[in-house]
Amino acid sequence: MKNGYFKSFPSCFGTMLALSLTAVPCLAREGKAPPLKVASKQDPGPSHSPSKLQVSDAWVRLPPPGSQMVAVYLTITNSGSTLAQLTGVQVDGAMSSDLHETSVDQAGVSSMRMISSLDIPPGEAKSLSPGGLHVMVMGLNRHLREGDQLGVSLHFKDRPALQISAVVKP
Amino acid sequence: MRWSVFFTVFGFLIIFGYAAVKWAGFSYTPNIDAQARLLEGQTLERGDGQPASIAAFQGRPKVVLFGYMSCPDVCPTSLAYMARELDQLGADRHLIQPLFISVDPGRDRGSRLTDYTQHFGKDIVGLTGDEDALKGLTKAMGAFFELGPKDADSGGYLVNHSASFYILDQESRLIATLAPPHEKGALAGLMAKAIRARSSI
Repeated sequence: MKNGYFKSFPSCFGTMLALSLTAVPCLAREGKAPPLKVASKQDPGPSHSPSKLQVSDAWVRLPPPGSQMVAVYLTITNSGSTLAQLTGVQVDGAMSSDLHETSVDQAGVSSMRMISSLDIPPGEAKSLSPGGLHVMVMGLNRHLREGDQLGVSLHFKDRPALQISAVVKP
Repeated sequence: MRWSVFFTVFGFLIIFGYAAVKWAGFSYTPNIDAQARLLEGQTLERGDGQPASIAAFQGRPKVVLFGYMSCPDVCPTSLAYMARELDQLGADRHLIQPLFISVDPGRDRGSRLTDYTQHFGKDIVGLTGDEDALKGLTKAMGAFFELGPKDADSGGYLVNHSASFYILDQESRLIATLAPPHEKGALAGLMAKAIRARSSI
């Protein structure tokens, strides 16, 4: 039995290693969950709609000269009892805007992928912030300056859309 | 049957021994210098079209960030972070050269690149180059980039790229990297170390 054990030990160890490697992407995903943010009281025009969704801290990073892409960040808090699903975002004066998620892999390489729908479970908040979820805006028809307000419409499944204003910050 | 025991143990010792040597940091100096030479040998260009290379910044340590101008989130965020960290160095910031290297020459060549980097800091130099030079450069630093597929309608494309900062010493040897998440003060600390190391030589 002892001889048989050692014969199969390398394959046992190899299997164990392979199995633990598959857990790594799952662990990496876990760490990416955005922190729970409470809606701030001073944000410009929070929307209190019957669907109990609040948008706060909406801001646009001041785009550097020559940049065709703009990023919008915000926090959506669902204080209701049903799941909210963000299905689209429209930005005033933009050719297109989509929800994207930045992720950095184990080798430190960053990539982005488009997100077609974002779940905001009841009692939770989802934060779009630098390095993670963000609205990627393309082909904005005007030049933005610090302090400008940008109109953003958030579209949800089976809920009325929310109109908010994002402030341009560096 | 006894041989399988022997080989398993022997194999484990080889792997363990190799890992221990790597961990202890024993590396051949010629390798680092060869990488530095490869790095410096790549011909890049500035926003004004003038040829440049990492070698042009000899005598000072450098902090390098790869990215592209059509990047909405990571690159502006990282550049803003680098700008804040450079601010933390105070007067010492002129002792290190910040470089932003665009891996998207198709869209980022020209004065636009200079305008873009200067938005974050007047001392940040923007460079780009041909794909071969960029591949050589990123490989020498252990970085990576890859252009994504073009969108059929807009012609736009995303670029995957390393989001780390690379610190080179005055001889262009890679001495440190800072991977995301970029904590406040972390890059400033590494840059200060690189500056101090230079002055002690």
